[in-house]
Amino acid sequence: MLNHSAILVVEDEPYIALELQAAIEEAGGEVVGPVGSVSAALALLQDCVEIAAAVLDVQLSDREVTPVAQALTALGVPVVFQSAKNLPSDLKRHCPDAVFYKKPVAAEALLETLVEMTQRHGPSA
Amino acid sequence: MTQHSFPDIPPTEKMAALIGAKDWSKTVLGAADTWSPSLTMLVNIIMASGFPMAVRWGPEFVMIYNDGYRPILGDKHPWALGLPFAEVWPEVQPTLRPLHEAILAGERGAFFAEDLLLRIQRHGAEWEDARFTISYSPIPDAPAATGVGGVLITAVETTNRVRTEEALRASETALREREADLRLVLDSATDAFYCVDTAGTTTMCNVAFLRMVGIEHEEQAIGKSLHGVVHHTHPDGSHYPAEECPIYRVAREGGFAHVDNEFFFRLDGSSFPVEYWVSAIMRQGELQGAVCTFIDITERRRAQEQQKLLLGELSHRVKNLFAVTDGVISLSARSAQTPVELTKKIKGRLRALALAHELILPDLNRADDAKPRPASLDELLRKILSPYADASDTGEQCRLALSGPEVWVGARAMTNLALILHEFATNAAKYGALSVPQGGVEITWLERDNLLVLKWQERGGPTLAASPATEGFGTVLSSHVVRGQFGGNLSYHWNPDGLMVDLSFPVERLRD
Repeated sequence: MLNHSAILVVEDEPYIALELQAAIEEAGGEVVGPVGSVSAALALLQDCVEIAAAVLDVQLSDREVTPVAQALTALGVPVVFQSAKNLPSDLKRHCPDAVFYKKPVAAEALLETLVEMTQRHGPSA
Repeated sequence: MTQHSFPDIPPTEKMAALIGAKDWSKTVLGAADTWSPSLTMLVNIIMASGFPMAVRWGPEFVMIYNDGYRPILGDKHPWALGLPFAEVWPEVQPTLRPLHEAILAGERGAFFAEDLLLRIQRHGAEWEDARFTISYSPIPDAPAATGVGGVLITAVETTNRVRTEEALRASETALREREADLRLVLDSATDAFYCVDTAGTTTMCNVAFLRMVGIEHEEQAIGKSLHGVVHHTHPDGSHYPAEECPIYRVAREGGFAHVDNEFFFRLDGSSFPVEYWVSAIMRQGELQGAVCTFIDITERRRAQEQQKLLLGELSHRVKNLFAVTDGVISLSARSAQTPVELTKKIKGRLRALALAHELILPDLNRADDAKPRPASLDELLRKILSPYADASDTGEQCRLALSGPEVWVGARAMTNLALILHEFATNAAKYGALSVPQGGVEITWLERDNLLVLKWQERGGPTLAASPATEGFGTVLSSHVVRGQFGGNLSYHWNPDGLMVDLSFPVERLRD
């Protein structure tokens, strides 16, 4: 389903991050990360990995995920947010096309969104 | 005494008749037809007067009085008629006798006194303090050696008037004192209040009102319409017309108002949230205006905001906890072979999360701070490892040795550390040093070059042949936390005498 698409996972709760990783890998995707901080995520993007889509937690251990979301949007990478809080208005403004899920998120729904995104935006499209 | 007013002038005949009928030959004055013409004329004059008047004639000041004077005498009338002054009024002799004698001697002229106080006995043995406005005039009499035959008395009793005046003064003083007391109470009150008339003009206010709106003197408030000064803007910043003001509405139309979502403004332009109550002031069914009492609810608002923040934080944490639990269940299901194993894994991991949560729980007694508090690494280790601490068969051997400096761990780092330490411990309990009674774990840590370096050393367990063929979940999780979350390093050494884990990560990540 995910056809070896590279999915960036930024999430600072280990259990959620690892479960997401397992679910994405099960669906045929390849996980970049998971990382739990803005600095680690930006460092991964510096390595110029070709990323097909990204799942971002909003409130990370060091700060809000905004710089990562902005960088991804600039690169044209589709983004899914998941947070226990509402999406901050500046994130909505920066990433108008992003999909937002409120935690806890059903893994199936998240995967479905990722599949749609990678098929629409992926290199093969 | 009603004789003072003209229509009540008593018929002069009463005293005139008594005087006419009296046998004056038996008195010191002698028969009436032998009297000096001055005396006869004076007696006729006073008989025709509505004022209380009397003549005191001759060296003994023999008394002849008119109808108006009768009430002054009380029980002494009619006995007093024709008797010497000293006999009729013995009680006032020390005060008045010298005056009479001086007038009679021609040594002094008329005497006048207002509200002269005299202690007299005119109703039996009862003493009373009576007051009189009196006038004593010499009566010219040609035959007398001094040219003065007696003293003409005009005496108006003022006892009741003076008493009434005194009572009035006393009640006025009491009223003023009461007003001052009331004022003091109102000014001592914490709540501010002010009154307006039906037109909205301020008629009264207390000190708390002046203080709260920053007005220095009462005169700056009284007589003024203050809506435009203290109440001019709605909470949304829009203009608040005086016609819409609930205080003025109650003053105008009566009724009641209670408002707790508006602001009052101080003279300096600053504002504060208020709760106010307005009641109509009615006097005998007629609307006089309104009284408004109010309190500054800044503190209450702050507490409500704080409560909202706390609830938001709590809701966030609960949702997050569900998400984490969801992850724990899903992940545990991936590796567990049986429902029993699954249950055990989930329970153990939830327990580790609960312990971390308890350690970082904010102090609920300090409601001003909803933020989790830092806890020490030592405390975390003891809690996580407590199920294994006294599992030794002998009950004496200490299986756990902890040593390191005091290190403070923030909320997020605490949870993550709890998770990996839990995995280390369960792994040791299943395969390593904690799986046998004689085994133990030594945990040491230190801070070096801004890194936290922690060593997990198992000893006394089953001899290890080699590293395990597949990476267990505990290893995956630990590796993810240390590398992916903490940006640090983690290495496992499967030494024959026991597993050793070295982990290090930037100290600053501990504060998260």
